This record gives sequence, structure tokens and C-alpha cells, in this order.
Amino acid sequence: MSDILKMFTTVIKSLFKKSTCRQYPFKKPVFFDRTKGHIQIDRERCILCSLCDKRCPTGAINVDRNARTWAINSYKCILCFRCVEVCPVTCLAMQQQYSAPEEIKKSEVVEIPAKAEKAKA
Amino acid sequence: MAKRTIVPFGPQHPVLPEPIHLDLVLEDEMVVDVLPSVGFIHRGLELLCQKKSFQDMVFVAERICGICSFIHGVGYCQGIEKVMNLDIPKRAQFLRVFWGELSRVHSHLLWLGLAADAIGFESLFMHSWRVREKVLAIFEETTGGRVIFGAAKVGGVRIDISQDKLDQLAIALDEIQKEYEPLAKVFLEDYTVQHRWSEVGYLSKEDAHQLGAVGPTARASGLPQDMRKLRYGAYEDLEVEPIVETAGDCYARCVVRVKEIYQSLDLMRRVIHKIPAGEIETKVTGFPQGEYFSRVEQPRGEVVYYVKGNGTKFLDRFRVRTPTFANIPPLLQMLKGCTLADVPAIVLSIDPCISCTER
Ligand code: SF4
Ligand code: SF4
Repeated sequence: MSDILKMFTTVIKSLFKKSTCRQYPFKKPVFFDRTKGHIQIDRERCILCSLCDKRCPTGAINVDRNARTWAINSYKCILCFRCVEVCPVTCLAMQQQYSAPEEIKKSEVVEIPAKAEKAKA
Repeated sequence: MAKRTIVPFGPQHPVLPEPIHLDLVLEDEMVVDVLPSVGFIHRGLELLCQKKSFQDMVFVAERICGICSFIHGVGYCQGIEKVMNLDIPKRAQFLRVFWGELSRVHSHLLWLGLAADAIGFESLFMHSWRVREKVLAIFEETTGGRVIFGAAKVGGVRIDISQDKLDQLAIALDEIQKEYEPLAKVFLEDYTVQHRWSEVGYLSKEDAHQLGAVGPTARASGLPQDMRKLRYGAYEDLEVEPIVETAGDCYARCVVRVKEIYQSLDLMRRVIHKIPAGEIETKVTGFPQGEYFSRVEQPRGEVVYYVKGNGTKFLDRFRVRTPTFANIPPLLQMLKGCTLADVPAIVLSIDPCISCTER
């Protein structure tokens, strides 16, 4: 009988403890500093060197110098921090919020303003 | 002689979320022969090394398994580092051991939960996973990932843990141990657990040796086999004694895992105590040329990584022998002579990871 009571004490105790699970919609998750959410670019600072494009292990980033665009396919991105590490002007950053679900899998295209425009702004 | 019937087990089976198929040849209720077939989720990783650079392959190696992901990464990096004759800083090696042992705790707690679930002990399953959640929180806090960390790299590790954080982690580990203790008691002393597993799925020491069992499966049959005894990486400075049981049944395999959690928690405390300051990576120049067999200990047993470089960015060959693959022949031996009702419990007792096996 005492054998069965071993689990009993744990179970009874947990009845009176507060819930282990986070009650989601009422209590929002806390993110840690390193939580991997999604990659964000500071478009004002990007110099279109395409290092991030070359180093990304999954080919999620696509940099087009002529069209002056930087595109990321967040469905391919494995959130490995590689691009954040290699960017020479540190304009890429990992944001903690997870990317929202979408109906169609597509790349998010960011237009990079030209130097002259940057100067004006 | 009773009439023989063949009962299929898997690839979809409630006790095992992963696809392995066994043809069980039955005589009445008794299993007399087993024919396994694998290959449902082959992913062809071994050829991928010719298309991805050897540094990018770390991310692929980590994705072989969702449970011992970090140790897969380390096994691969260790192979490349040996080929390239790289000296890894001590701090990086200690951090690798830290995350590796934490993965072991997480994997064993996961198994204990699943095993409890398989014998119908639902509350024990829930509570094992409650403790495991704390381990996952540590992973997320230190690396940013709960399953795949991306922390290992050729030449060291990519993330450092500050001393303050390590001190906090030591407290967190104590808390985990405190919460784990009552559960371990249930596994070790409860009548229900013992009744279900004792003398089920027996594997003798000779069979374990001959059929090449690894990890807890071998150790539960009395073979003191543990790759950490090879003293790779920081295990050079950390003495590890393999935990051995002699009964050779499912219950012994459970006991080995229960005790290994304590051992791993203790090892992590020693890592926190001993970890030296300094660099966490060495610079990697050039490309690997040559070949190496790297052997590391995973929660499920020994994993072998074979890498062969040809002096370019891409490897020639990359091969993985995962522990479950080695444990399938002993499993077939265990199944012979058991009853049909015991099959799920025995299959689970080797902690099968089929996605690992098929790569
Ligand atoms: S985080 Fe990694 S996978 Fe994602 S875009 Fe950057 S380099 Fe590519
Ligand atoms: S590495 Fe940085 S600066 Fe270069 S293209 Fe990518 S985001 Fe722009």
C-alpha cells in the first residue's frame, strides 16, 4: 500500500499548487534575450554587400543589388544567427516576437533606400 | 505446434510516434520471430555534405535528431576538428559538456515520461514532463532554442554563458533535482512500475555484447560501456563512472536512466565549478583533408560519426551510425519469447529514435 502512496503525495500536492502551465491568452509568454523570433533589418543602414545572402546556410536571404532589395523567406530561415554575426554594419537583428502565420509562403521584400535618399533623410 | 500468425506492429502505433515496422510471428500469444523493416523516413543526409560547406553541415547534423540535437552537432564538429588538427579552447569544451549533459537529462526525462505513459501511469508521465519543462527553459535561456540550439560550431561554440548566469543555473539545477527526487522514488520503488517491467525483455550480457548493444541498453545488461570513458573533450577533466545494472530486463534499463539523470546533474555542477575563463572558439582556416571516426556518448548510447574531407569546402563523405541502429538487433533478441502485450513496453525500453536511425 505504501508503494502506491509515493505517487499519491506528489499528486495531492500538485492539486493545491498553482498551475504549472501558463494560462496563455491571459498571461503572455516571457521572452529571453536570446529567444529566436524573426530576423529584422534596419533598412537605412544596409549597404547591400550581400554577405548575409552568401553565408546563410539555407539560402533564406536574397539580396538584389540592381533592384536595391533585401528579401527574406522566413519559412526557409532556421534562425541560426549567422547573418546577424556576419553583417559588417550590424543592421540585422534577431527580434523576440515569433513571425505571424501567413496564408501564402512568400518572401518579405525590403527596399533599401539609395545613399542620396539616405543623406536627404 | 500452435498455428503461426503474423501480426504487424507499426509503422503507426500508439506507443511509438515514430515509424518502424515489425512483423511479429506469433504462436498463440508468444512472439517467436520478428522481422524489422525501416526506411519510411529516409532523408539522405549523407549525400548532402557534397552540396553544403563543412561549416554549414553542423546545422544539418544537429537536425538529425530532435532530442539529442546538440550532441549530434558536437560529434560532427569533433570529427572535423580532429581532421583539421584544431585545438579547442577549454571553456568551449566545458560548455559542450554542459549542454550535452543537460540534453541527457532532458532526453531521459522525456523517455521516463513516455515509458510511464506506455504502462498507463498517466500522472507520472505528466509530472516527468513538468520537470523536463524546466530543463527546456534553461536551454531557451542560454541558447535561444528549446530543441535545436545552433550552439556548436567547428572550432568551439557560438554562445558563451556568463559566470553570473552559471551561478544562477547551479541554483536552477538544484531545484530540478529537488523536484525530480520524488519521481525517481516512484520509478525505483513503486510496485506498479516494477510489476510491469521486471523480467520483461531480458537481454543477457553475452547477447548484449555479441549483438552490439550500446548505451543504457548495454549498461542494463551489465556491460560497463560508456563513450565518455574515452575522455573526449572536457571529459578529460571530469571523471565519469558508467552506471551499470545486471538484471538485463526493461526495469533495469529504466533504473539505469533514472540514475543517469542524477549523474548528469552532478556532472553539470562540476562543470559550473571547474569551468575555466577564456576564449570559446579558435579560428578555422583552410579546409579539412583526411578522415576520422568520431565517437561520442548520446543519451541513447554511442554515436559514430565518420567524416572524410578532400581539401575543399565540401566533404567527400559523411556517415552517421546512431545508437538506435545498433540497438535494433538486441531488440529483436529481447522480443523473442515475450507475449504480444509486452511488445510495446520492450520496444520502448531501448528508447528508440527511428528518425535518427534512418537519417
Ligand atoms: S538566421 Fe540563419 S537561416 Fe535565418 S536568414 Fe539568418 S543566416 Fe539565414
Ligand atoms: S550583410 Fe548586412 S549590410 Fe550586407 S547586405 Fe546583408 S544586411 Fe545588408
